[in-house]
Amino acid sequence: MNRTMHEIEPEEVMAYLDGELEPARAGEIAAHIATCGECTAVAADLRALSEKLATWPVEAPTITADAILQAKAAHVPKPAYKSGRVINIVRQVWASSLTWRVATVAAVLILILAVGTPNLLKVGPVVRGRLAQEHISNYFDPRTDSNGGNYSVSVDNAEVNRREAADLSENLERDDTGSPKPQPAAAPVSSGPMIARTAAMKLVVAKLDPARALLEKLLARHHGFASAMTLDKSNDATASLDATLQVPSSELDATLGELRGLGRVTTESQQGEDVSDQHVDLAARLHNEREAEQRLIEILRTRTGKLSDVVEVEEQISQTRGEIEQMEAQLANLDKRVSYASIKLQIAEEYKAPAATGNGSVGLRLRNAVVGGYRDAVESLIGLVAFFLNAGPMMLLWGFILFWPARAIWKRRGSLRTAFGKS
Amino acid sequence: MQRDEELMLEFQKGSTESFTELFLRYRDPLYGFFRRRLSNVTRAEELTQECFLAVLQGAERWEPRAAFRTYLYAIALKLTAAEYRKSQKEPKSGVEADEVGRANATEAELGVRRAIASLDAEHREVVLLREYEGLSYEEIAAALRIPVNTVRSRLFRARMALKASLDPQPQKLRCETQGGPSAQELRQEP
Repeated sequence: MNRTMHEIEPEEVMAYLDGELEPARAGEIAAHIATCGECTAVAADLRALSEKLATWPVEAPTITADAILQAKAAHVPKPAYKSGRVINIVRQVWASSLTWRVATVAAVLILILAVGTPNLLKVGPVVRGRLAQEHISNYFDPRTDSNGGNYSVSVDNAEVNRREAADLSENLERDDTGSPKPQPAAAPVSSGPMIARTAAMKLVVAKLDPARALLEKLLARHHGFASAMTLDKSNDATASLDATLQVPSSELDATLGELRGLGRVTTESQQGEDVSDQHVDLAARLHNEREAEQRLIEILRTRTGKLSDVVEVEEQISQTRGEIEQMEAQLANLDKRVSYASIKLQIAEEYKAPAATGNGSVGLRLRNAVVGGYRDAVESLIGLVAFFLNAGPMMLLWGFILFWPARAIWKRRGSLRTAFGKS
Repeated sequence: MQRDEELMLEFQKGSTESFTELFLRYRDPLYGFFRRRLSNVTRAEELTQECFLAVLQGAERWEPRAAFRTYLYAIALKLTAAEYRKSQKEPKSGVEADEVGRANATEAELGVRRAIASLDAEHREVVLLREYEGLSYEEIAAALRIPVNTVRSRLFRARMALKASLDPQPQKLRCETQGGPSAQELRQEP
């Protein structure tokens, strides 16, 4: 007889003796045991074992129900067990040893740091960014009161330079008779530092033509113009528009805001160049050149001499006049740069896989599909690698930090399970 | 005789007599439970008291979803586990350090203690709950949170191992002849 041939397993005999079988099955087992010598022996062994185990008596306890009821009324002592598994585990872990307490505190601190540190890291740049933004907007905004105390030292210097330039300009505006002299270019905005603002933006739009129409309306609305514009539709898949826009400096922020609404911004940058010193320098040089010209004219008018001397003076006057005009142009250009901000704009249409070309054969289309698929796969792979390169070190760091408490908790859970389930 | 669950429901309504009845029913088995698992007699009494206190304090929340006995021994098991952790010891029966118990014990009793102590924790707990606390397979499964079939197989192995330990002239068990694990193998099994 072997295990496979014997119809009754010893475990079942045991279960029968323990009264764990259904009545019908118990009847079958009882009948079998009556006829099977081996099963009878097993049953006898198990009964004998139970009798032997019963020889381990335990003395009677001394506790009484009244004592427990009184302890309950007094609420002492508190039982170690409390229903509430998490609380129980935490309490047990806390009470177990100093190491566990330290580990628990460390885990809590790590958790707080993990949650809090990113926020703290964010606060710095946000505050700094806000301050910088306020500073820049004050710096850039010509309407801002220069006496408002918001400028840094460099801005104050720029303000001083600007005033000096204004004084020089006033002197230049008067000729010998004291009457005002017409200026070649409009004076720049004079209520703030002279900042030439530039911006660059790259946009991706769904359709280029509507975007262009919106751009033109936008420029008209903000009193701006396009100083250069290049539309490239040579390739249907990548139609693009490059333009250099000029808008009044005061309209720059509003213009950029509306430009962002045209499509998806891929790149954006802004710069401001303080041209106050440059302006002062040019104005001073212009002032000197004009005085020199006046003196030369005076010499030519009052002094007599050789013809060669007269010719030489005239040449000098001509040269001085040329330099004056050159400087006036530079000054005008500076004023224009300050008055008008420049925006370098690149608008690209969203990439569309080129449709089958005129001679579009099936092979070509398949090739396009293969190229597109390959490109997408490579980009996905690069994106995945970039993600892991970007987030990998941080994940490794936190994995390393959290590994020990997690391992300890896991071990503790294992020991609890063992204690509860295997003790 | 009223069922345990009925007594608990009555106790929930304020009947201290019901609790006293439950206490009398389970005082000795519960003390035996702790006594066979701990070497310290006083501590066994304290834990017995704490176990009943836990029942008292949790009485309002108790629901007759499972047998009261299962509930009671589940508390006792948790208390025991907490006690083991507190004493920083591996779970083991009270047979080893209980010198007073040893002195008064008969040879047969000492043999039983040694045999039970030689079992691993998994098998020891199942056999203790069955042999001394008299829990059914289902109640043991509920208290230890393991399947009933696991209870049955562990119990059988534990009994076979105990039989091999206690038998002065070890004889081959039928399960060995049938290709099953020997008692020695069972004892060594983790």
